[in-house]
Amino acid sequence: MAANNALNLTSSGIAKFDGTSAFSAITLTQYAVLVGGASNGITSIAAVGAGRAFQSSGAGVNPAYSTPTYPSASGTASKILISNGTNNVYSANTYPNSSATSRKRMISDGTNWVASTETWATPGTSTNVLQSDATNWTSATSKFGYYINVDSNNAGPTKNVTYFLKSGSTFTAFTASDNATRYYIATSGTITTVYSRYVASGASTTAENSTLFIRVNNTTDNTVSSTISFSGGGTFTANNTAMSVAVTAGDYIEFKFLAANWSTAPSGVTANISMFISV
Amino acid sequence: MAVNNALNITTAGIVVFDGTSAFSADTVTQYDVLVGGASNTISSIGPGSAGQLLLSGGAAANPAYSTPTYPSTSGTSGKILVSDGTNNVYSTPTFPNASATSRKTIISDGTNWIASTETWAVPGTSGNILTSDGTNWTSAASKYGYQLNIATNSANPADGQTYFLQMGNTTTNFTSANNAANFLITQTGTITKFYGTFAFTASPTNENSTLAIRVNNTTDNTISSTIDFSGGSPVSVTNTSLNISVTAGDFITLKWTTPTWSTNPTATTFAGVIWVAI
Repeated sequence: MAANNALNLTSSGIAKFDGTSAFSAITLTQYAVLVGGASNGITSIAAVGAGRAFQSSGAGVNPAYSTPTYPSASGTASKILISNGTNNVYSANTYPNSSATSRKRMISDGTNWVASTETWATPGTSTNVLQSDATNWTSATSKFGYYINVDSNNAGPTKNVTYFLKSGSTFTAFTASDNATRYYIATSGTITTVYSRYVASGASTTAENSTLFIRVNNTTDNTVSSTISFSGGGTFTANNTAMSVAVTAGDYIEFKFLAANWSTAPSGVTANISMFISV
Repeated sequence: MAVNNALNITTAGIVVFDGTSAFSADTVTQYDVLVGGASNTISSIGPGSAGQLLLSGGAAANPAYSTPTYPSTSGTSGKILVSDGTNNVYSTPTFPNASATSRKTIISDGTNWIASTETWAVPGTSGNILTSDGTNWTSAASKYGYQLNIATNSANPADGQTYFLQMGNTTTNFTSANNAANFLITQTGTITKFYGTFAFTASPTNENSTLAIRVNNTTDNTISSTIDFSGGSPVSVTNTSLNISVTAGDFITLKWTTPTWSTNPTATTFAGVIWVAI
């Protein structure tokens, strides 16, 4: 057949005609990818290591195999392609592959990375802490703080007189700020809550209002209540749970009581006052 | 020349025979991938853009280059393939590629995403807060609370008497509930612990006295009913299993009930602290 071959080919290969007069044989390489060559030629791109991807090299250049390999088999669902420094392989662990509730985070289950069951709050207000609501981590107001208490003993106050209260002393023992009436602040914070309770004697006590202050550094009065009436005598309370008095470590506070301008004053008063300082 | 061509091919290309009588020439495009066409023809695929992958087009279609490109060189270990919106590229940071202890999270080290050293607890009981144990973040009961301190001055207690103790006054100053001996509760919570000590002189006998926390002058909650002074001063009184609910605005009093001693203590002082967990 070759002798009668009008192509006059003398070597094996794919026959190519130059469009004018000559035929030639193009040699192919087994397993090589064939790409078009110049003048209708065929170029073989030699086989390389398994798993390398066949990629375009752009116009005017033969395509080529990638240097790193890519997986040729399916991976476990939710594994990702990750470089091992040489090749691109499936990750050892799975990663979440679906939307999760906002504020969930990626967490290990000991084997894989999964979306957490719980959500994690944004920080929220400064000094908030992460607190469990039994399901999620929430941003909650810290309850750190401390307590200061004063108890004064029974004594009859005089109208329009200011008293500075001290535990273990009578209600009327101090009519001016005194070292003994100071409560020092150990940790900076905010006085948020003050409860006060009084027992006043004197059934004929009139209804004029007294005022309780928290005095800071013997300069600034912060009113707890200005409507403390001992009318008729008995037990009275005056609370303020909406205070916001900033105090700094080293400050001192005093419990200052301004007696009312009574027509008839109580014959005796004891006071019990407690405050909470949030830090 | 064409007329002398036994194949009767008149154009340049790869020679294809139809199996019967006709030869033809298929032109091919330089740099294109060649794939089989219909009737033993050759099709050219290409050339695509650098980095595009040749992907199967399925059973009855020519392969084709992908639209996005893929890396053609090796990436740093731990980098993942991520889309930049156009192409698939190596991520800038690396990601974990090994199992981690349960409850570790993926966290940035400033450059890469890594498994945290510490574990992060599930929320647990409501009210728990995230607390360090020195190694990990745990879910722990909060230690929120405040303490109420009391210390009394020296006095000689009488037999069978009830005293209401107050800071700054003598131990025996109040024999009935008195406003001055109260602590006002500022934050709702639970009294959980009490620590205190009696100090005295003389050598009292072993009759037991009782210390209680009285709430709102109505309900006594016993701290201890076996306070025995016979072993000498001081005598500690501790109860860390209290569970007394208190509400903001409540008032509490420390109530001491003395026995009928054969020999009474003298010069008795007391100091103690109440812890209100909130």
